[in-house]
Amino acid sequence: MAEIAAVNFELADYQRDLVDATRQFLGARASLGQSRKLMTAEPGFDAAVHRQLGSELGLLGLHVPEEHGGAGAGFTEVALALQETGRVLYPGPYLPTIIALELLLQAGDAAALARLGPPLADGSATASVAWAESAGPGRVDHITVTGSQAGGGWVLRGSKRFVINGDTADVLLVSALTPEGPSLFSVSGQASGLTRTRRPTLDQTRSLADVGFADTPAELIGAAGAAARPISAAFDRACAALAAETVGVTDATMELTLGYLKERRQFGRLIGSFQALKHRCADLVLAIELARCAADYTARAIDADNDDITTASAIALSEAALAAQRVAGECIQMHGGIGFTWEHDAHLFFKRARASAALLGSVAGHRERLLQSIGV
Amino acid sequence: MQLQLTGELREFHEEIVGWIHDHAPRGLSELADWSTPWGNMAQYQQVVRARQHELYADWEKACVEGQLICPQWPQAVGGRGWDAIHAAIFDIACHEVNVPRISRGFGEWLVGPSLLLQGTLEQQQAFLPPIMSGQDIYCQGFSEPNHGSDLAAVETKGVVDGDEIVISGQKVWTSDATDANMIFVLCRTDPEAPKHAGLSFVLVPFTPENNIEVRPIMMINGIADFCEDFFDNARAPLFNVIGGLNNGWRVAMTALSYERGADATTQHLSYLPEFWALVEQASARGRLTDPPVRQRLAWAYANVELMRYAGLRSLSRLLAGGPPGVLESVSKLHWSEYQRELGEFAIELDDDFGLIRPDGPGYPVTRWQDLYLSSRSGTIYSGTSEIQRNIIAERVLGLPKEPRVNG
Repeated sequence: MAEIAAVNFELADYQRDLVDATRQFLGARASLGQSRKLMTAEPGFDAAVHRQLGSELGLLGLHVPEEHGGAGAGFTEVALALQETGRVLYPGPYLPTIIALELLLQAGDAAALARLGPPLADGSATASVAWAESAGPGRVDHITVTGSQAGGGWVLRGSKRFVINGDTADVLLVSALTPEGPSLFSVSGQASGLTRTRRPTLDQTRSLADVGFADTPAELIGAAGAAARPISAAFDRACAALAAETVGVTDATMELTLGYLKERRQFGRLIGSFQALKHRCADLVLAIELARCAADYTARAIDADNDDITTASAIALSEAALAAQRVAGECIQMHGGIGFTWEHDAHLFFKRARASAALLGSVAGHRERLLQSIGV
Repeated sequence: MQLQLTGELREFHEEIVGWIHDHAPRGLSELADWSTPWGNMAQYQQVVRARQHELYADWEKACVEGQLICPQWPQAVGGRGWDAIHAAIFDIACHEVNVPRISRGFGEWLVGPSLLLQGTLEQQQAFLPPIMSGQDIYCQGFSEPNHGSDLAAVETKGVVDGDEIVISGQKVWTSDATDANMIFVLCRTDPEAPKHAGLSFVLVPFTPENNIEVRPIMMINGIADFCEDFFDNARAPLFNVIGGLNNGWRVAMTALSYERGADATTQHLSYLPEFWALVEQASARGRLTDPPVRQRLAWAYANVELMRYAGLRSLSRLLAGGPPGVLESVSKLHWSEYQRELGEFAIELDDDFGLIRPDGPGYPVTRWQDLYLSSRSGTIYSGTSEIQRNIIAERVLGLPKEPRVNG
């Protein structure tokens, strides 16, 4: 029997206010133009803006319980904020901080949350998750970084890749293999034996770093060998977060495209009146609306603690990544020559779309994850 | 964030499910998978056959007595006056128990709304009760051999003769014609007026005695489910013109845009069993570990889930009392294109590579051959995918219309 439960997709007034305030702030302080300027600078984002996201707008700890310095809201609100940061290709560590906080919440280590949560929520510190190796992110079956006990504490050895804003993060949450099994650690950005290298990225609005550990001191989060479940749950939520952000990217790309179709004239007509373009736009709308629906559903499923979060997040991210790439590709094509220039913004969206289709695994990988989640 | 149905709606759902359990004849659920999509035509024949069963007649009678026919119509004309959310819950309840949601077809979904929105009180009193009782079964007389997507250009003539209208011409692609005794016709009553302004919407007795000849047309799946109809001075009282002479285009558009909010909420229920049947087929063929097959199965499941999410979103909007959004505009394009692509994939997994049909007279097909063939219709009927894309581009995105080359 189908469960009769309506999921509320309509925004409440306070949610609309959140969207408006975020859009207004980003428009003034972190517009797409800003993102473009910052992408060739160090550290690639404006640290003051990031702090304000926490201290003024309260966006960083939206889903963190109030006793840990957060707003006690839900993932739905986080997803709304992420759609806004996606629209401007925000280059700062919003997504990685959200994912790190989610991993901390999933780990259920109250002491670690009390220690690390408040500064992340108010923006005075940034964090990122180092859980990707050559096998891809969020995997617990192929961890090569090791954690071992030394002198009453733990040290890590090995290296991680694709750590978002990893070169500047004040705290890294690291998955490592201990004799007990997959475990989770926090490492200070100042720790000895820590090397961090910002890599040149296809998408310059998102900074990625390689991180190396050479007997680097680390603090265990949760029990040793108990990280498989929290990592996997946090990975689902990371996919949901990236899906929401990508929907925002796609919306902005489509708006850019439509604006041009309604203004550019050829053959004495607005090019938006040509059926060859209109029909492709209609197909883009279909892809965008389905991706939006999946991302919205997933955020609400997370808040309701549904049992289909893995399935939904895999669908949401694969649909969003496909839609974003398709819309950004059409954005270039429909703009013609100007769309292929560095000066135009189309390539920024095109590159972000591709990067988001790989950052947490490929579309094919998410589809395989989906099938396994339904037992096929 | 998950809104359970509020007290009243939850009680309503429980009440409806209880009513169905109390009144549905034993064995009705076992007769057919009543959720089979109409578009899977060969599969759907089991539903068509099951409708001939006496249990169906018993159930229909129970629904008539229980006032569960056209329940979304106003109470004044014999309906329940249900809003879209109550109508959706009723549909969902029928799916849950697997009983047919008794539908009066075109009468319920096109003629009824036209009458309710554009008809006079006298017309409503004359035409609605026989639709509800099942006495009048309507088929659709819109398309013509020369005018499909360009509906406003229809040529079938309607000439006023005293207090009657006399109709001549040809209609085509008329589905449900075999059971119908009435047809609603879009005909040209003012040949001098611009093409949209000279049309009338008329309810016409659909009988050989009324000079209408019906010829079945065989479809690509071997089924003759639609017809062409030849009108040779067929007559109807002027009273049967809905919305007034030469106002037919507006009536037709009103009818076609009539909101069926309930549809979106139940759509995925019919496609989910199809997905699992395909998984079983892939498994039986030893293809379930084949990565390309797995990728496409995941794609299929994602699409069924997307329909479920979209349905929940529609339900959410209905609950909030909001108008249909963008998602409702893309729904037809989504399911019809999905079914077509699924058919192309599924037949690859069929026994004998889809090359061999079952033995038997006529043109029997396997489930996946049926899907492959029948799914080509969904992107054509009720507005082709191309018309759907025009509508989305112009009404949702606000892109300019193409310059017209004729009136």
